[in-house]
Formats: sequence, structure tokens, C-alpha cells
Amino acid sequence: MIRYIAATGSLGYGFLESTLETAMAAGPAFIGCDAGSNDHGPNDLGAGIPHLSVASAARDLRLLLRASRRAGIPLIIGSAGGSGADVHVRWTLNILKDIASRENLSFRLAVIHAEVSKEWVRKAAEKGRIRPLNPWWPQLGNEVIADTTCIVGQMGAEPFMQALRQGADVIIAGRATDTAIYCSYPLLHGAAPALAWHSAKIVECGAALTVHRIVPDSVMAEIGADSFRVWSPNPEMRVTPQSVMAHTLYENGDPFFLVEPGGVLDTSESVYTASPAGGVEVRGTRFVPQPYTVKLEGAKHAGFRSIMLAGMRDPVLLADLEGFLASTEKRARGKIESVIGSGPAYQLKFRVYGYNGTLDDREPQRGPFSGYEVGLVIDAVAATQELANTVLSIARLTVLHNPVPRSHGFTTNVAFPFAPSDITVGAVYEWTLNHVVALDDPLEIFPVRYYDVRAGDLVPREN
Amino acid sequence: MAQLSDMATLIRSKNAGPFVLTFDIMFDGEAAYRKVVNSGAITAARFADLYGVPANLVKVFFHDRARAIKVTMPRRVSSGAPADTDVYGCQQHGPICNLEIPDA
Repeated sequence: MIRYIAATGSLGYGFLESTLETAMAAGPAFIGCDAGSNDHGPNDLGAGIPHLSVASAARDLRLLLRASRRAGIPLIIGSAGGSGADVHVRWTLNILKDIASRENLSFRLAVIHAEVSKEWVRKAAEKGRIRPLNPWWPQLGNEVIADTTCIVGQMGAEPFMQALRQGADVIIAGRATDTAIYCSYPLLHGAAPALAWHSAKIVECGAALTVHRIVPDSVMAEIGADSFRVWSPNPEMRVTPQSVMAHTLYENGDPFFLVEPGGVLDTSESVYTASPAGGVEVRGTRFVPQPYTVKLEGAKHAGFRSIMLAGMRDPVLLADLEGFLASTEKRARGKIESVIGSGPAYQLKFRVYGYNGTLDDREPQRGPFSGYEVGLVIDAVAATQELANTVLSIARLTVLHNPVPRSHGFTTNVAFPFAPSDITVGAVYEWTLNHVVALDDPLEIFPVRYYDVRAGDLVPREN
Repeated sequence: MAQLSDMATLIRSKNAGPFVLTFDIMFDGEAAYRKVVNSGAITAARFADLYGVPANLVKVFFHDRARAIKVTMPRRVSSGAPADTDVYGCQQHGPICNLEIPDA
């Protein structure tokens, strides 16, 4: 029987201290916490920035570190810093060092890297070890690799297991599959792979598996001989067979088969029942071993962005919103070309909230506008920030005074909530890799480094 | 004739990775689930038409045990790319809520 805590959906999202206390009292073997996601888009990986603040991450990490050190159980953090590249791992280590120094903590640390060099990826592609994850996606070419700013692999359970075998008290890992964080300890201690992986999949978003997730919070799992159980230590939130099944579906393209680095989790025969011990018990899941592959993620720089936000409230303008937008865009593009020439490529997009902002040209309800107000975002993307700013400023002036046929005299058409109106967003990135690479050794691109942490100092160890 | 949102307890869309969009339609009762499944309203062609993707790339799953329907398709624009409108892919399900479910 192995019990563990999934602290929260992402390190820094938070959990209640009272929930962590209750969970710790239940005798967990380890605490796991995912710290990343590709949900936020490609910028975090491309630009090497974290997806939340130092203060938020430090709050969670301090409480988890304290609890794990007090109980003498491992703390396992994966996808450090959000995107799990080397810069994100360093960001997390700086927070960890600061906490260790303030709290005067000493422990054995393992750091697992997940960033992969473009040279390695190019060679792997040449050897035919890389294929697209989805069949409609093209093979990985050298041009895409060359354009990509940063590449990470999503590690499986084995690098974590290696670190645990070496006696790590704390693991800070780069990009990892969410599940590997939670299944590595159980796998190392003999849990059936089907139960280890499936329980990990269910808890990886923390309290998201509950019926009503009121606040981000910790959840617990317990793996037995032929079933596992998940529950919420927070009495305010409960899990039901339906909520657990729903979470197995969450963010997966296929509701029955979940592809993991060393195999496929088959949940088609899984049975979910309310447990007399509390929570939900799951049995019947299968794990089918497959050749070892890991996912690669990469992002490339795709230009610079400037935007402006405005409101439109004039009934005369709104009566023919589509006509107004079309004539504005046409005139703006003409002026832009007269200023920057016809050479430079740029994106000029009118995002009209209240009309087509969310679904764009697939909005089935677009057509003659009915309503009293819309929010307008003008979005300019170009090769340089200066060019994006130029495109936006011309579009802004055009929308501001573009005449509508029914008006006589000079009109000013949009309400800016802010001065200045134009917002420099900065670099824009785009996902490039959507591929998997076959590995002979699950640790091949995920080196594990060991340190003794003595208060705030990291002292390298051999193993 | 009822709308899907009147019969389902949860309708959501979300990225399944940066290049794939997935819709979950979940039901509390067997009757509502069966009625929607048997209505034939949830098809790859219907979703392909709504979202402008080729029908052969749209997959529809009926998960009887979970009383859930899942529909998965490629995103037309990858998450966060310059022309994207929904980085998390989490507000693309609006039109699905309004699908008319004919009485079988």
C-alpha cells in the first residue's frame, strides 16, 4: 500500500495549509507537485519565462519543503518553472535555495534536466527516431529545427526513479509528463504500472478531480494490490465516480487510451466505485508496454506584437458593424502600405469582443450585429517591434475617424479606456514541435545531477 | 426538440496538447446520454462543418461507462500562434451548447 499527496495542479496555484496538514497526517510516502503545463502557450518556453510569480511559487514550495523535511519523505517537483527548460529549472532552484537558507534546511537534492540541444534533435531526426505525434502533422525537417528557439523533452518516470534510488530527498525536474511525477515512486516500490500511471493521471491537476473545485487544493491517492483509491483531504470538496471518470477524460484526445512514455494506459475496462474508506476506488485498468518514446516540445520566435483596446457604443456604427470593420481594415491596409511599402509581412487583426472575438470566422451567430456595445482589440504582429507599432498606430488612427455612410461630419468612433492607447506586448512565439522521439535509454536526454543542500548552498555530489 | 446544454451536465472544450482541441459532453443520467447518442446529432461531419476542419480528422468517442461523448480534432491554429483566439482552447464549445437534439 503506497499513499501519496498531489499538492496542487501547478506549483504556485496554491492549496490550503489545513488540507496539507490533514493529508500529512494520513501518512503519505511522498509529496508530488507538477509545476508546469503547455496550456499557457509557447511564449514561456520560447522566451524562457516562468508562468507565475516568484512569490506564488515560493509560498507553495516553502510549505511543501517544510512538510516533506519534517516527515522525512521525498518531495518531487516536475516541469519546474512552467516549461521545464534549463532556465526554468534554474529559476526554481534559486527559489529553493532561498527557502533552504531562510529555514536552515539541509537535504539531498536531485536536479533533472530536460532541455535538448538542436544538434541532438537534428541527428535523431536524421536517424529516423522522430515522428509526428499526430498523423496529419509533417515530418520534422531541419528548417523547423533551425527556426526553433528552445526544445525540451517530456521525461517519463525513469529519471525520477533513478534520483529516488540515489536517495534524493527533493527532486527538481525539468519538463516531464505530469503523470511521471506521481507514478515514479510507486513504480520504484513495486506498484502495478496500470495503477501507478492511472492514479497519477487522475491526481495530476490536484483538486480538479472533485465535483466542485472551489479552490486549488491537494488530493491523495493510495495504491493497493489490485486497485487504487483517490480522495480529497479537504472535507469541503468531494470526489465521486463520475468526477473521477470525467477527469480521466480531461485534456486527452482519446477517452480510453492514454499514451505514456513506455506504454499505453487502457482505461476502457476501468471500474470506478465509491469507496467505504472515502473517495473513489478504481480497478480494471491495464497498462500495455510499448517501445519507449517521449514527446518533444519546441517554440520559435514569430514576431513582435502591439495591441490596443477600445469600446464601441454608437448605435449608428453598430448598426453596420461588419461594413464599418471591412472599410476600416481596407483603408488601414492601404495607408500601412503607403508608409512601410508592400514588402514587409504583418498581421493586422480586428478582434471584436461581443461579435467574433472568441470564435473568429467560425462564429455561427455572427451576421447582422445586435447588441449595444462591443469591445475592439486591434492586434498587430510584425517582424520588429517598431514595425508592429507602426502598423498598429496607423490602424488606430483609421478606426478612430473612419467615416460611416450615415454620418455627416467628422466622427471619433472608439472609446479608449487608457492613455496611451497602444500597448507593446513584445515577442510572440509559436509552437513548432509536435513530435515524439524513440529512446533506447529513458535517461538519454534527461541527465540527473546530485547536490547536498546545506542551508542556502548547493554542493555537487558524485551521485 | 431540445438544446444539448439542456440535457448535458457538463460541456467543455480544451486543448489536448497545443495542436489538438477536444470537447467533452457529459451526462448525469443514462436516459439523457442515450437520447443524445441515439439522436445522431453528434457526428464528425457536424463538428467539421462547425469548426472548419476536415471531417476525416474529427474523432467522435462514445464512452458509455462514463456517460460521456468526446470529440477530438486538430486545432486550425496552434495554441498561442499569432492568429489564435483562444490559447487554452477552452471557450470553443459555445456553438455545441446550442446544438438542437431531435427527438429520436
